[in-house]
Amino acid sequence: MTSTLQKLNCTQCGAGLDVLGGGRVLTHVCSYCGAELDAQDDYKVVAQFRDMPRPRTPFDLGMNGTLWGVDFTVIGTIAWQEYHAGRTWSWVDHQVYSPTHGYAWLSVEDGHVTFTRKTRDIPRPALVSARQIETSETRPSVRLGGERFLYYASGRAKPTFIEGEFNFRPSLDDTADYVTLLGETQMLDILASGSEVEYELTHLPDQTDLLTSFGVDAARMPKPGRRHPLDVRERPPIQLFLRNLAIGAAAVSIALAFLVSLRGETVAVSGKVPVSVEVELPFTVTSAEALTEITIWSNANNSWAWFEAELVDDAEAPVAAFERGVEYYSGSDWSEGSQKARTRLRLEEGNYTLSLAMSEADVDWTGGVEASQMEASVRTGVANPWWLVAAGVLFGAIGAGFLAQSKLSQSGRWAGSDWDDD
Amino acid sequence: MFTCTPCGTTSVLRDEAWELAGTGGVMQDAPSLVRIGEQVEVEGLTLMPVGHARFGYGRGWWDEFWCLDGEGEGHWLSADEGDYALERPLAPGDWPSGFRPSLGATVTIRGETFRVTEAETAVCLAVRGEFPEELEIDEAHLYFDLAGPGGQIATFEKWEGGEAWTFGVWLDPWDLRAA
Repeated sequence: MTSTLQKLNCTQCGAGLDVLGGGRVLTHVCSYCGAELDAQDDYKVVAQFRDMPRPRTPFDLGMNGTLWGVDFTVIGTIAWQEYHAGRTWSWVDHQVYSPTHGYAWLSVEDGHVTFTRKTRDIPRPALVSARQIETSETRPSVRLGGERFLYYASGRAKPTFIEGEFNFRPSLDDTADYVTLLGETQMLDILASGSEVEYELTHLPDQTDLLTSFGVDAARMPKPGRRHPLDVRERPPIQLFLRNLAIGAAAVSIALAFLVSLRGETVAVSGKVPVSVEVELPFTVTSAEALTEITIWSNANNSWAWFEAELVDDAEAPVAAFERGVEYYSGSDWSEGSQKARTRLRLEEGNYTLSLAMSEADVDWTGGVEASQMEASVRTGVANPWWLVAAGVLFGAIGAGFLAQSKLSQSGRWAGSDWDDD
Repeated sequence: MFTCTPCGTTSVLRDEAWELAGTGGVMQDAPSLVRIGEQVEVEGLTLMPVGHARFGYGRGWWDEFWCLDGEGEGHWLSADEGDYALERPLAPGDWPSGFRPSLGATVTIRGETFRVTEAETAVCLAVRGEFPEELEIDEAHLYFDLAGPGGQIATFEKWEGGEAWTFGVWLDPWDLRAA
């Protein structure tokens, strides 16, 4: 906690400076002349920073706001730049101070404001080395407080602007090596500076609440670029409910379709007969509500056979006539076609006779055997399950859409990562 | 030792008799997560702060709270600008031998290695409430904070009247809750 000193004059240029931080502030960098003053030794000048371009940030020294119920004051500003492979990244860190919760950071990058604070917990493993990042097949990971963090990015940054109070001694000559790992709701930074390693946790506060609380002028806030990796878009419960409902409905529809396909009663079977004879198969339909299924089987193997069928009623009047082919081909690890062909008809109640004869057959595949036998069977009371199958496919597509959206949302969080799977 | 709230004087228990020891000093109001008489929950303990001492280090100060848990055991809860630590007095039998107080020095406590990370000379500015030891206003205390594995902390304290070791853990202020 600081004593009652609230203002001082810069010992270099005489400008009036506000004292906003607590007793653990080590350095005060004059906003006017860039002199670095030793806050623990009568504000003696210990360094002089020059040619510092002021960064674009909506936060000024002395701004107050509340984060998760705790009051913080902006006491310092450091702008950082990182160069790599011809690209430049820049961001601004503001040191903030709370008499009860100590020192933390508000960072402005790519139009987002994050809150970062030091943690004394040490992750396992404690370090992610550059060599590990270079050679690892999968993203390196660490565990901290029961949460798993996956590698997100790493680099080396240098300050370009320093102003205000800090609980350490920043310098324009400093470099900071960082490794950032992403968890479910927070990021973990492993910071190496000299022989010291520090760990920081970053959260993404509600942006509107934060900016309102600190009284930030919206016009000064840079427009957000890509989505922030901590922007976990929690889907409303109704969406999760609908996803589960769709997947459940798809499963039920397919299961019902299977059960429905088993319905029906076999009422006539010709038995296997040579294909040279014509099959005459009488049968009776007792209900016009359901379908009648006629199945033609033949032992065509790596060959095909063509059958002509005619259906007549009690008065020998033609009711239906159709042709069906049976073709079946197979190899050591494949097969195609079927030795069965099915036809479904809607018939009125009454007696019928099915006439079936093979009209043509041929072998057109190596090792094929021409059809020599055939069989006809009739099943009545059959239901058509295709509408249930269609419903299952439709519901499945809806469920898959929700899952794809979730996957897309997850991959969006990692869009800014510098990890390359190759 | 206790401080009389109405008159601000301190008394010390010596030979089963209370002796007047001086004043409790001036305790400036400051925001705090810990206050005398208000229970806090931390590290699975419910603690009642009964004594509040403030130590100045020139530009600023930190607070030490003497707290009693549900078993009547005493703990020191220190609060220094967001850095909180909960420590218990280390029994003299556990005190490390051959400790030479200096920054960076290492020492073994209960089988773990601790390193001195901070050294501070602080002056007792004010006291309120009850304490297990005598604290004199304006008395200088030399503090050495030592960091151990897994967020452990040990503190060596030396003053004109003696020395003491405490041992405990760093706390996250966001985990400190009013009971």
